[in-house]
Amino acid sequence: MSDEPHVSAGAYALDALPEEDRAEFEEHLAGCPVCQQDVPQLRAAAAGLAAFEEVTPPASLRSRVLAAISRTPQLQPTAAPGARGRRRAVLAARSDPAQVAELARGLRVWRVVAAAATIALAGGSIAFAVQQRQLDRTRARLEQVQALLPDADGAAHAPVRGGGTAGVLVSGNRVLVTVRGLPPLPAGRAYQMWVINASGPTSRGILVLDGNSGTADFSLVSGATAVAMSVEPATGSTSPTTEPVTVVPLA
Amino acid sequence: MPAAAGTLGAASTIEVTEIGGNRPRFPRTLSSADRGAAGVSPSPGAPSPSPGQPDADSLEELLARVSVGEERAFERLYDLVAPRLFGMVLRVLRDPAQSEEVCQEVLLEVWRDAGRFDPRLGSGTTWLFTLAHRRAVDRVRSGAAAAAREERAALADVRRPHDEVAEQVSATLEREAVDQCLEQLTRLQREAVELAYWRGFTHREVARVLDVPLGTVKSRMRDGLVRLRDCLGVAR
Repeated sequence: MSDEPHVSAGAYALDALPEEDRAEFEEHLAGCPVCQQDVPQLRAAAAGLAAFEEVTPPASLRSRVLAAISRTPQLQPTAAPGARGRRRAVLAARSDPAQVAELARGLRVWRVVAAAATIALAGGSIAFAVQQRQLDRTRARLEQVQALLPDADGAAHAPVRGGGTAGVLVSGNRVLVTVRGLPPLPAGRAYQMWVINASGPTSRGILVLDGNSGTADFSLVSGATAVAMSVEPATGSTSPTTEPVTVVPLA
Repeated sequence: MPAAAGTLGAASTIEVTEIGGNRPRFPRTLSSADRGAAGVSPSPGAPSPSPGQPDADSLEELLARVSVGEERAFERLYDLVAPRLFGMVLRVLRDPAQSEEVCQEVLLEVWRDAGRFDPRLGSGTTWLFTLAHRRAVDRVRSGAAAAAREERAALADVRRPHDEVAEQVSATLEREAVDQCLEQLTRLQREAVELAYWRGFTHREVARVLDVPLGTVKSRMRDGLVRLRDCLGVAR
């Protein structure tokens, strides 16, 4: 390639770079903020060319495609860490607070949590680092821990009302929460984390979603009795405005 | 327990937003000679949004719902994008049967990978048409449509006066906008862009067809797209 790798951005956006040149440009792209900004715009301009051409395909295509998707598995979402897709809600109607309390009583996570803290995994203890880069690895380790724990000790997961599960791991003053399978939320709403003590709930921020999963790492307050999650405006609330969708009591 | 000041009620009102080119438009039937596509008749079966009626869901919302497996959202997505998708692929491949195959591959990829779409990085339309164009071009280059890529014919094609290139059953605002924006490009920029986009030529092939150095072709492609971007008012 020439001395001016940026100039290939147009060819790249038009899919005019053959295999070798494409790989070379993508390597350049990985380290070039200018191109990282330009390429999406150029691709959008190229996609604009497609505005012209509208031809209704045969109905048989529609039925073939719809039949095919029912046999086609979907990949786990791997949007960039921190992506917050806008989601529609499929939340169930609000549960009775008593039901949620019953849920909480049924959880023996605190026992599991105590046991988990003493488990040493191959390769060392669990790190609660919050850097985005490490989140996947941390989550994988949490899953390893959870897989090791027999059901009889109580679930390492708490169900999330409306769908999904939350896994909680506590070590000292820090908590690691992993949630999976969350239902989509209406636009402008997000899941917010709280730690609960005698003074009430203290915010631990908006749960950053990666598809319909997320991981949060935060500190407890003194005398914390539970960790909870509720649906709030996407900008967050100073105190919860809705019933929690999950509550995890602590030892 | 946190104090409950409100309730989790039913899903809130769907925001009606239009992003990019998702306005309903008059579907066009297959035009004749310049497609060379006898035998493909327009389908009356597939519903299209009626003119003047706003799309109830934007493509981005549909992708979000598709990503969690909602088949109904995928059906709406199909109805929203299929004519434009098929039209684009058909123009690149020139073969209706292969175009259907590529469309099916694209739509399955959309179903599988909808969770990878990140709305912060661009519109749903751009994402989808980027996937689609890549597949169409790969198919062209794999030799499946070799006959159509004859270079002289290709050059004649992009040099044809613009209003002859495709018949319109009805003009749409968006088509006119793109038409006008293409006029902002120099003839040379436009040829480079169109040879690549519509014929699937690599930059070296474009350089050969236009008989200019490779560096010149790359610059024209880039500058041409930049002008198109600025004219279309594309934010990302």
